[in-house]
Amino acid sequence: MIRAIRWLLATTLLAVPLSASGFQLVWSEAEIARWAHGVTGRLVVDVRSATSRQQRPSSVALPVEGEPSDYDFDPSVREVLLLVDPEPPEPWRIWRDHLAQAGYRVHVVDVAPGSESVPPAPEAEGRSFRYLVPRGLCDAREPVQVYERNPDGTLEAQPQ
Amino acid sequence: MRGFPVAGLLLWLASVPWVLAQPDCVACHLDHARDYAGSAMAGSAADHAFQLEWAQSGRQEGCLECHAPDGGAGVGCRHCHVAGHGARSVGSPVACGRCHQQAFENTLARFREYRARGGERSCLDCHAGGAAGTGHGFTGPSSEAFLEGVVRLTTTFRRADSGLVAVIGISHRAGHGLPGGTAGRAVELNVRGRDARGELVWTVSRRFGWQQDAGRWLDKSLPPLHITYVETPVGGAARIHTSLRYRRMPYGHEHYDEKSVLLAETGRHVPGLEGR
Repeated sequence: MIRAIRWLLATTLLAVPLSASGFQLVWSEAEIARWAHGVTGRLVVDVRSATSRQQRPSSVALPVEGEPSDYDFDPSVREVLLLVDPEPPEPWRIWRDHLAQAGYRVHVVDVAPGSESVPPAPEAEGRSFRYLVPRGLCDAREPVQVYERNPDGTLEAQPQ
Repeated sequence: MRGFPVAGLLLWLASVPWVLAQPDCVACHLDHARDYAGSAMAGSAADHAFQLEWAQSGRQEGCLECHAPDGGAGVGCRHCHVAGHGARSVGSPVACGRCHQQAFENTLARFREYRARGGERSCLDCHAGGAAGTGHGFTGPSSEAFLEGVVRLTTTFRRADSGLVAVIGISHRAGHGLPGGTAGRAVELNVRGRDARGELVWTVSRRFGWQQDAGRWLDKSLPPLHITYVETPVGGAARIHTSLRYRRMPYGHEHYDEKSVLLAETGRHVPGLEGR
Protein backbone atom coordinates (compact mmCIF):
# COMPACT_ATOMS: atom_id res chain seq x y z
CA MET A 1 0.00 0.00 0.00
CA ILE A 2 2.77 2.42 0.98
CA ARG A 3 4.61 1.57 -2.21
CA ALA A 4 1.47 2.24 -4.24
CA ILE A 5 0.90 5.64 -2.57
CA ARG A 6 4.54 6.59 -3.07
CA TRP A 7 4.36 5.61 -6.74
CA LEU A 8 1.08 7.51 -7.23
CA LEU A 9 2.55 10.63 -5.65
CA ALA A 10 5.70 10.35 -7.68
CA THR A 11 3.88 9.87 -10.97
CA THR A 12 1.00 12.28 -10.59
CA LEU A 13 1.76 15.00 -8.08
CA LEU A 14 5.46 15.35 -7.56
CA ALA A 15 6.88 14.56 -10.94
CA VAL A 16 5.85 17.72 -12.72
CA PRO A 17 6.88 20.44 -10.23
CA LEU A 18 10.08 18.70 -9.25
CA SER A 19 11.17 17.93 -12.76
CA ALA A 20 10.16 21.35 -14.01
CA SER A 21 12.51 22.91 -11.50
CA GLY A 22 15.34 20.69 -12.68
CA PHE A 23 15.33 18.47 -9.62
CA GLN A 24 15.68 14.77 -10.44
CA LEU A 25 13.54 12.04 -9.02
CA VAL A 26 15.15 8.72 -8.17
CA TRP A 27 13.08 5.79 -9.40
CA SER A 28 13.63 2.07 -9.33
CA GLU A 29 13.64 0.12 -12.57
CA ALA A 30 10.25 -1.38 -11.60
CA GLU A 31 8.74 2.11 -11.15
CA ILE A 32 10.08 3.19 -14.52
CA ALA A 33 8.69 0.06 -16.22
CA ARG A 34 5.26 0.56 -14.64
CA TRP A 35 5.22 4.22 -15.66
CA ALA A 36 6.06 3.30 -19.25
CA HIS A 37 3.23 0.74 -19.36
CA GLY A 38 0.68 3.09 -17.76
CA VAL A 39 -1.41 5.34 -19.96
CA THR A 40 -0.53 5.64 -23.64
CA GLY A 41 1.53 8.54 -24.91
CA ARG A 42 4.55 7.90 -22.72
CA LEU A 43 8.15 7.33 -23.76
CA VAL A 44 11.25 6.64 -21.67
CA VAL A 45 14.39 8.14 -23.20
CA ASP A 46 17.81 7.15 -21.90
CA VAL A 47 20.39 9.94 -22.24
CA ARG A 48 22.89 8.41 -19.79
CA SER A 49 26.46 7.43 -20.52
CA ALA A 50 27.24 3.97 -21.88
CA THR A 51 28.76 3.03 -18.51
CA SER A 52 25.59 3.94 -16.59
CA ARG A 53 23.43 2.06 -19.09
CA GLN A 54 25.57 -1.01 -18.60
CA GLN A 55 25.56 -0.75 -14.81
CA ARG A 56 21.85 0.02 -14.43
CA PRO A 57 20.15 -1.02 -17.66
CA SER A 58 16.52 -0.18 -18.34
CA SER A 59 14.19 -2.68 -19.98
CA VAL A 60 11.86 -0.02 -21.36
CA ALA A 61 14.04 2.93 -22.39
CA LEU A 62 14.93 4.08 -25.87
CA PRO A 63 18.69 4.66 -25.77
CA VAL A 64 19.61 7.84 -27.61
CA GLU A 65 22.87 9.34 -28.80
CA GLY A 66 23.82 12.57 -30.50
CA GLU A 67 21.61 15.64 -30.61
CA PRO A 68 17.91 15.87 -29.74
CA SER A 69 17.29 17.23 -33.24
CA ASP A 70 18.42 13.85 -34.65
CA TYR A 71 15.19 12.31 -33.33
CA ASP A 72 11.54 12.54 -34.26
CA PHE A 73 9.39 10.68 -31.74
CA ASP A 74 6.10 8.94 -32.46
CA PRO A 75 3.24 11.47 -32.71
CA SER A 76 1.34 9.64 -29.95
CA VAL A 77 4.04 10.60 -27.43
CA ARG A 78 3.01 13.40 -25.09
CA GLU A 79 5.13 12.71 -22.03
CA VAL A 80 8.83 11.85 -21.86
CA LEU A 81 10.73 10.38 -18.93
CA LEU A 82 14.41 11.24 -19.28
CA LEU A 83 16.81 8.81 -17.61
CA VAL A 84 19.85 10.89 -16.73
CA ASP A 85 23.21 10.85 -15.04
CA PRO A 86 22.93 13.58 -12.37
CA GLU A 87 26.42 14.79 -13.21
CA PRO A 88 27.32 16.52 -15.40
CA PRO A 89 23.94 18.22 -15.86
CA GLU A 90 24.63 19.87 -19.23
CA PRO A 91 23.85 16.94 -21.54
CA TRP A 92 20.44 16.11 -20.08
CA ARG A 93 19.47 19.76 -19.68
CA ILE A 94 19.93 20.18 -23.42
CA TRP A 95 17.51 17.26 -23.97
CA ARG A 96 15.06 18.49 -21.34
CA ASP A 97 14.93 22.02 -22.72
CA HIS A 98 14.64 20.85 -26.32
CA LEU A 99 11.79 18.45 -25.55
CA ALA A 100 9.95 20.91 -23.32
CA GLN A 101 10.19 23.53 -26.05
CA ALA A 102 8.81 21.01 -28.55
CA GLY A 103 5.72 20.64 -26.35
CA TYR A 104 6.45 17.43 -24.46
CA ARG A 105 5.78 17.08 -20.76
CA VAL A 106 9.23 16.12 -19.46
CA HIS A 107 10.23 14.32 -16.28
CA VAL A 108 13.85 13.91 -15.27
CA VAL A 109 14.69 10.71 -13.43
CA ASP A 110 17.81 9.12 -12.02
CA VAL A 111 17.73 5.31 -11.87
CA ALA A 112 18.04 4.20 -8.25
CA PRO A 113 21.40 2.62 -7.37
CA GLY A 114 21.12 -1.12 -6.86
CA SER A 115 17.98 -1.14 -9.01
CA GLU A 116 19.22 -3.64 -11.50
CA SER A 117 17.21 -4.51 -14.54
CA VAL A 118 15.57 -7.91 -14.32
CA PRO A 119 17.15 -10.19 -16.92
CA PRO A 120 14.76 -11.99 -19.24
CA ALA A 121 13.67 -15.44 -18.16
CA PRO A 122 16.07 -18.08 -19.41
CA GLU A 123 15.35 -18.99 -23.00
CA ALA A 124 13.83 -22.31 -22.09
CA GLU A 125 14.78 -24.90 -24.59
CA GLY A 126 12.14 -27.09 -26.13
CA ARG A 127 12.62 -30.79 -25.56
CA SER A 128 10.90 -33.97 -26.50
CA PHE A 129 7.73 -34.76 -24.62
CA ARG A 130 7.56 -37.60 -22.19
CA TYR A 131 5.86 -40.56 -23.72
CA LEU A 132 3.16 -41.85 -21.44
CA VAL A 133 1.24 -45.06 -21.43
CA PRO A 134 -1.96 -44.07 -19.67
CA ARG A 135 -3.49 -46.45 -17.20
CA GLY A 136 -6.99 -45.63 -18.34
CA LEU A 137 -9.33 -42.78 -19.06
CA CYS A 138 -10.19 -42.08 -15.45
CA ASP A 139 -6.74 -42.05 -13.92
CA ALA A 140 -4.48 -41.06 -16.76
CA ARG A 141 -2.54 -38.76 -14.46
CA GLU A 142 -1.00 -41.87 -12.91
CA PRO A 143 0.84 -43.41 -15.83
CA VAL A 144 1.79 -47.05 -15.61
CA GLN A 145 5.06 -46.35 -17.36
CA VAL A 146 6.95 -43.23 -18.44
CA TYR A 147 9.47 -43.17 -21.27
CA GLU A 148 12.00 -40.47 -22.18
CA ARG A 149 13.01 -40.14 -25.78
CA ASN A 150 16.75 -40.54 -26.41
CA PRO A 151 18.57 -38.27 -28.88
CA ASP A 152 18.61 -41.16 -31.39
CA GLY A 153 14.82 -41.39 -31.18
CA THR A 154 14.60 -44.58 -29.15
CA LEU A 155 12.48 -44.68 -26.00
CA GLU A 156 13.89 -45.44 -22.59
CA ALA A 157 11.68 -46.65 -19.74
CA GLN A 158 12.01 -44.50 -16.62
CA PRO A 159 11.95 -45.95 -13.11
CA GLN A 160 8.57 -45.47 -11.35
CA MET B 1 -5.75 -31.69 -43.88
CA ARG B 2 -9.40 -31.02 -44.79
CA GLY B 3 -10.54 -33.39 -42.10
CA PHE B 4 -9.11 -31.32 -39.29
CA PRO B 5 -11.73 -28.56 -39.02
CA VAL B 6 -14.52 -31.12 -39.13
CA ALA B 7 -12.82 -33.36 -36.61
CA GLY B 8 -12.09 -30.34 -34.41
CA LEU B 9 -15.70 -29.19 -34.56
CA LEU B 10 -17.02 -32.62 -33.69
CA LEU B 11 -14.60 -32.94 -30.80
CA TRP B 12 -15.48 -29.45 -29.59
CA LEU B 13 -19.18 -30.26 -29.71
CA ALA B 14 -18.43 -33.44 -27.87
CA SER B 15 -16.58 -31.49 -25.17
CA VAL B 16 -19.65 -29.67 -23.88
CA PRO B 17 -21.51 -32.72 -22.61
CA TRP B 18 -18.14 -34.14 -21.56
CA VAL B 19 -17.53 -31.20 -19.22
CA LEU B 20 -21.09 -31.23 -18.02
CA ALA B 21 -20.70 -34.91 -17.32
CA GLN B 22 -18.15 -34.44 -14.57
CA PRO B 23 -20.75 -35.73 -12.11
CA ASP B 24 -19.03 -35.04 -8.80
CA CYS B 25 -18.76 -31.30 -9.41
CA VAL B 26 -21.66 -30.43 -11.68
CA ALA B 27 -24.41 -31.58 -9.36
CA CYS B 28 -23.75 -28.61 -7.09
CA HIS B 29 -21.75 -26.26 -9.39
CA LEU B 30 -23.79 -26.13 -12.57
CA ASP B 31 -23.06 -22.42 -13.25
CA HIS B 32 -19.34 -23.03 -12.90
CA ALA B 33 -19.55 -25.99 -15.28
CA ARG B 34 -21.57 -24.02 -17.86
CA ASP B 35 -19.06 -21.16 -17.77
CA TYR B 36 -16.17 -23.55 -18.02
CA ALA B 37 -17.67 -25.59 -20.86
CA GLY B 38 -17.35 -22.56 -23.14
CA SER B 39 -13.67 -22.01 -22.40
CA ALA B 40 -10.74 -23.01 -24.59
CA MET B 41 -9.30 -25.15 -21.79
CA ALA B 42 -12.42 -27.34 -21.76
CA GLY B 43 -11.73 -28.17 -25.40
CA SER B 44 -7.95 -28.05 -25.37
CA ALA B 45 -7.55 -31.39 -27.14
CA ALA B 46 -10.38 -30.78 -29.58
CA ASP B 47 -8.97 -27.41 -30.65
CA HIS B 48 -8.12 -27.23 -34.35
CA ALA B 49 -4.70 -25.61 -33.80
CA PHE B 50 -3.78 -28.31 -31.29
CA GLN B 51 -4.94 -31.08 -33.60
CA LEU B 52 -2.77 -29.67 -36.39
CA GLU B 53 0.30 -29.15 -34.20
CA TRP B 54 -0.15 -32.53 -32.56
CA ALA B 55 -0.27 -34.24 -35.95
CA GLN B 56 2.91 -32.38 -36.98
CA SER B 57 4.72 -33.56 -33.87
CA GLY B 58 3.90 -37.19 -34.59
CA ARG B 59 0.96 -37.42 -32.16
CA GLN B 60 3.21 -37.64 -29.12
CA GLU B 61 1.22 -39.00 -26.22
CA GLY B 62 3.00 -36.68 -23.78
CA CYS B 63 1.00 -33.74 -25.20
CA LEU B 64 -2.18 -35.37 -23.95
CA GLU B 65 -0.96 -35.25 -20.38
CA CYS B 66 -2.08 -31.62 -20.35
CA HIS B 67 -4.44 -31.39 -23.34
CA ALA B 68 -6.55 -34.44 -22.50
CA PRO B 69 -5.49 -35.80 -19.12
CA ASP B 70 -8.53 -38.04 -18.87
CA GLY B 71 -8.66 -38.90 -22.52
CA GLY B 72 -11.55 -36.48 -23.07
CA ALA B 73 -11.78 -33.33 -25.17
CA GLY B 74 -9.92 -31.14 -22.72
CA VAL B 75 -9.03 -30.32 -19.13
CA GLY B 76 -11.59 -31.31 -16.50
CA CYS B 77 -12.51 -29.95 -13.06
CA ARG B 78 -10.21 -32.16 -11.06
CA HIS B 79 -7.09 -31.37 -13.06
CA CYS B 80 -6.95 -27.97 -11.35
CA HIS B 81 -9.02 -28.75 -8.27
CA VAL B 82 -6.80 -31.71 -7.52
CA ALA B 83 -7.94 -32.13 -3.94
CA GLY B 84 -11.56 -31.20 -4.59
CA HIS B 85 -13.05 -28.94 -1.93
CA GLY B 86 -10.62 -26.86 0.11
CA ALA B 87 -7.96 -26.82 -2.62
CA ARG B 88 -7.18 -23.13 -2.12
CA SER B 89 -3.89 -23.29 -3.95
CA VAL B 90 -5.76 -23.59 -7.23
CA GLY B 91 -5.48 -19.81 -7.70
CA SER B 92 -1.72 -19.96 -7.39
CA PRO B 93 0.43 -19.55 -10.52
CA VAL B 94 2.12 -22.81 -9.61
CA ALA B 95 -1.19 -24.61 -10.14
CA CYS B 96 -1.28 -23.20 -13.69
CA GLY B 97 2.39 -24.07 -14.11
CA ARG B 98 1.66 -27.78 -14.02
CA CYS B 99 0.73 -27.39 -17.68
CA HIS B 100 1.92 -23.87 -18.51
CA GLN B 101 5.56 -24.62 -17.71
CA GLN B 102 6.31 -27.64 -19.84
CA ALA B 103 8.19 -28.66 -22.90
CA PHE B 104 7.52 -25.78 -25.35
CA GLU B 105 5.67 -23.87 -22.61
CA ASN B 106 7.52 -21.14 -20.69
CA THR B 107 4.59 -19.06 -19.48
CA LEU B 108 5.16 -19.48 -15.74
CA ALA B 109 8.85 -18.48 -16.01
CA ARG B 110 7.82 -15.40 -18.01
CA PHE B 111 5.13 -14.60 -15.40
CA ARG B 112 7.80 -14.70 -12.69
CA GLU B 113 9.88 -12.33 -14.81
CA TYR B 114 6.85 -10.00 -14.96
CA ARG B 115 6.47 -10.05 -11.17
CA ALA B 116 10.21 -9.48 -10.67
CA ARG B 117 9.90 -6.36 -12.87
CA GLY B 118 7.18 -4.98 -10.57
CA GLY B 119 4.04 -6.44 -12.18
CA GLU B 120 1.25 -6.93 -9.67
CA ARG B 121 -1.47 -8.95 -11.40
CA SER B 122 -2.00 -12.70 -11.02
CA CYS B 123 -3.04 -15.25 -13.65
CA LEU B 124 -6.73 -15.11 -12.74
CA ASP B 125 -6.85 -11.29 -12.75
CA CYS B 126 -6.72 -11.47 -16.54
CA HIS B 127 -7.77 -14.99 -17.48
CA ALA B 128 -10.76 -15.69 -15.21
CA GLY B 129 -14.10 -14.83 -16.73
CA GLY B 130 -17.47 -16.28 -17.53
CA ALA B 131 -20.96 -15.02 -18.30
CA ALA B 132 -22.34 -16.38 -15.02
CA GLY B 133 -19.64 -14.57 -13.04
CA THR B 134 -18.15 -17.73 -11.62
CA GLY B 135 -14.62 -16.93 -12.78
CA HIS B 136 -14.52 -20.30 -14.52
CA GLY B 137 -15.01 -19.18 -18.13
CA PHE B 138 -11.30 -18.94 -18.70
CA THR B 139 -10.45 -16.51 -21.44
CA GLY B 140 -7.28 -15.95 -23.44
CA PRO B 141 -5.94 -15.24 -26.90
CA SER B 142 -8.44 -17.56 -28.55
CA SER B 143 -10.87 -14.69 -27.96
CA GLU B 144 -10.30 -11.74 -30.28
CA ALA B 145 -11.75 -9.32 -27.72
CA PHE B 146 -9.22 -10.49 -25.17
CA LEU B 147 -6.37 -9.30 -27.41
CA GLU B 148 -7.82 -5.83 -27.96
CA GLY B 149 -5.53 -3.05 -26.72
CA VAL B 150 -2.86 -5.48 -25.52
CA VAL B 151 -0.12 -4.05 -27.74
CA ARG B 152 1.17 -0.56 -28.43
CA LEU B 153 3.40 0.28 -31.38
CA THR B 154 5.44 3.45 -31.81
CA THR B 155 7.61 4.66 -34.66
CA THR B 156 10.52 6.97 -33.91
CA PHE B 157 12.91 8.23 -36.57
CA ARG B 158 16.61 8.65 -35.87
CA ARG B 159 19.21 10.35 -38.03
CA ALA B 160 22.31 8.16 -38.34
CA ASP B 161 25.52 8.57 -40.36
CA SER B 162 24.17 6.06 -42.88
CA GLY B 163 20.82 7.84 -43.23
CA LEU B 164 17.45 7.80 -41.51
CA VAL B 165 16.52 4.83 -39.35
CA ALA B 166 13.00 3.86 -38.18
CA VAL B 167 12.90 2.58 -34.61
CA ILE B 168 9.76 0.51 -33.95
CA GLY B 169 8.84 0.21 -30.26
CA ILE B 170 6.68 -2.75 -29.17
CA SER B 171 5.18 -2.88 -25.69
CA HIS B 172 2.45 -5.16 -24.38
CA ARG B 173 0.33 -5.58 -21.26
CA ALA B 174 0.50 -9.35 -20.84
CA GLY B 175 1.75 -10.61 -17.48
CA HIS B 176 4.05 -13.04 -19.31
CA GLY B 177 5.78 -13.20 -22.67
CA LEU B 178 3.82 -12.39 -25.82
CA PRO B 179 2.75 -14.78 -27.11
CA GLY B 180 2.29 -16.98 -24.07
CA GLY B 181 1.57 -20.63 -24.57
CA THR B 182 3.01 -23.21 -26.86
CA ALA B 183 5.21 -23.39 -29.92
CA GLY B 184 2.46 -22.98 -32.51
CA ARG B 185 1.66 -19.43 -31.45
CA ALA B 186 3.64 -16.44 -32.62
CA VAL B 187 3.52 -12.67 -32.82
CA GLU B 188 4.62 -11.32 -36.15
CA LEU B 189 5.93 -7.82 -36.83
CA ASN B 190 5.64 -6.54 -40.36
CA VAL B 191 7.19 -3.21 -41.41
CA ARG B 192 6.60 -1.89 -44.94
CA GLY B 193 8.28 1.08 -46.59
CA ARG B 194 6.44 2.75 -49.49
CA ASP B 195 7.68 5.49 -51.80
CA ALA B 196 5.86 8.76 -52.52
CA ARG B 197 3.68 7.00 -55.16
CA GLY B 198 2.62 4.36 -52.66
CA GLU B 199 4.73 1.62 -54.25
CA LEU B 200 6.21 -0.96 -51.91
CA VAL B 201 9.96 -0.36 -51.54
CA TRP B 202 10.88 -2.89 -48.86
CA THR B 203 9.43 -5.09 -46.14
CA VAL B 204 10.92 -6.32 -42.88
CA SER B 205 9.37 -9.15 -40.83
CA ARG B 206 10.22 -10.39 -37.37
CA ARG B 207 8.67 -13.37 -35.60
CA PHE B 208 8.42 -13.57 -31.80
CA GLY B 209 7.63 -16.83 -30.04
CA TRP B 210 9.26 -20.24 -30.06
CA GLN B 211 12.02 -20.32 -32.65
CA GLN B 212 14.65 -22.70 -33.87
CA ASP B 213 18.15 -21.40 -33.25
CA ALA B 214 21.12 -23.54 -34.31
CA GLY B 215 19.00 -26.66 -34.12
CA ARG B 216 17.48 -25.84 -30.71
CA TRP B 217 13.99 -24.56 -29.99
CA LEU B 218 14.07 -21.43 -27.81
CA ASP B 219 11.42 -19.15 -26.30
CA LYS B 220 11.88 -15.81 -28.09
CA SER B 221 8.62 -14.23 -27.02
CA LEU B 222 8.36 -10.49 -26.28
CA PRO B 223 9.28 -10.17 -22.57
CA PRO B 224 6.76 -8.69 -20.09
CA LEU B 225 7.03 -5.11 -18.75
CA HIS B 226 9.66 -4.57 -21.40
CA ILE B 227 9.76 -2.51 -24.58
CA THR B 228 11.39 -4.14 -27.58
CA TYR B 229 12.93 -1.80 -30.15
CA VAL B 230 13.46 -2.98 -33.72
CA GLU B 231 15.50 -0.76 -36.06
CA THR B 232 15.32 -0.68 -39.83
CA PRO B 233 16.88 1.75 -42.35
CA VAL B 234 14.29 3.93 -44.03
CA GLY B 235 15.89 3.52 -47.47
CA GLY B 236 13.89 5.20 -50.20
CA ALA B 237 10.60 5.07 -48.31
CA ALA B 238 8.38 8.11 -47.88
CA ARG B 239 5.98 6.34 -45.54
CA ILE B 240 6.39 3.51 -43.04
CA HIS B 241 3.53 1.17 -42.13
CA THR B 242 3.90 -1.20 -39.17
CA SER B 243 1.60 -3.99 -38.03
CA LEU B 244 1.73 -6.71 -35.42
CA ARG B 245 -0.37 -9.85 -35.78
CA TYR B 246 -1.06 -12.68 -33.34
CA ARG B 247 -0.80 -16.05 -35.06
CA ARG B 248 -2.57 -18.99 -33.50
CA MET B 249 -1.63 -21.68 -35.95
CA PRO B 250 1.68 -23.50 -36.40
CA TYR B 251 3.96 -22.88 -39.45
CA GLY B 252 6.16 -19.87 -40.22
CA HIS B 253 5.05 -16.46 -41.48
CA GLU B 254 5.33 -17.60 -45.09
CA HIS B 255 2.06 -19.48 -44.51
CA TYR B 256 -1.18 -17.53 -44.29
CA ASP B 257 -2.97 -18.01 -40.98
CA GLU B 258 -6.70 -17.37 -41.38
CA LYS B 259 -7.06 -17.29 -37.60
CA SER B 260 -4.45 -14.58 -37.04
CA VAL B 261 -5.56 -11.38 -35.28
CA LEU B 262 -4.30 -7.85 -35.90
CA LEU B 263 -3.00 -6.61 -32.55
CA ALA B 264 -1.94 -3.11 -33.59
CA GLU B 265 -0.92 -1.10 -36.62
CA THR B 266 0.53 2.33 -37.19
CA GLY B 267 1.74 4.43 -40.09
CA ARG B 268 3.99 7.50 -40.39
CA HIS B 269 5.33 9.72 -43.10
CA VAL B 270 9.13 9.87 -43.08
CA PRO B 271 10.05 13.29 -41.69
CA GLY B 272 12.78 15.69 -42.73
CA LEU B 273 13.97 15.85 -39.10
CA GLU B 274 14.17 19.62 -38.87
CA GLY B 275 12.91 19.24 -35.32
CA ARG B 276 9.42 18.92 -33.95
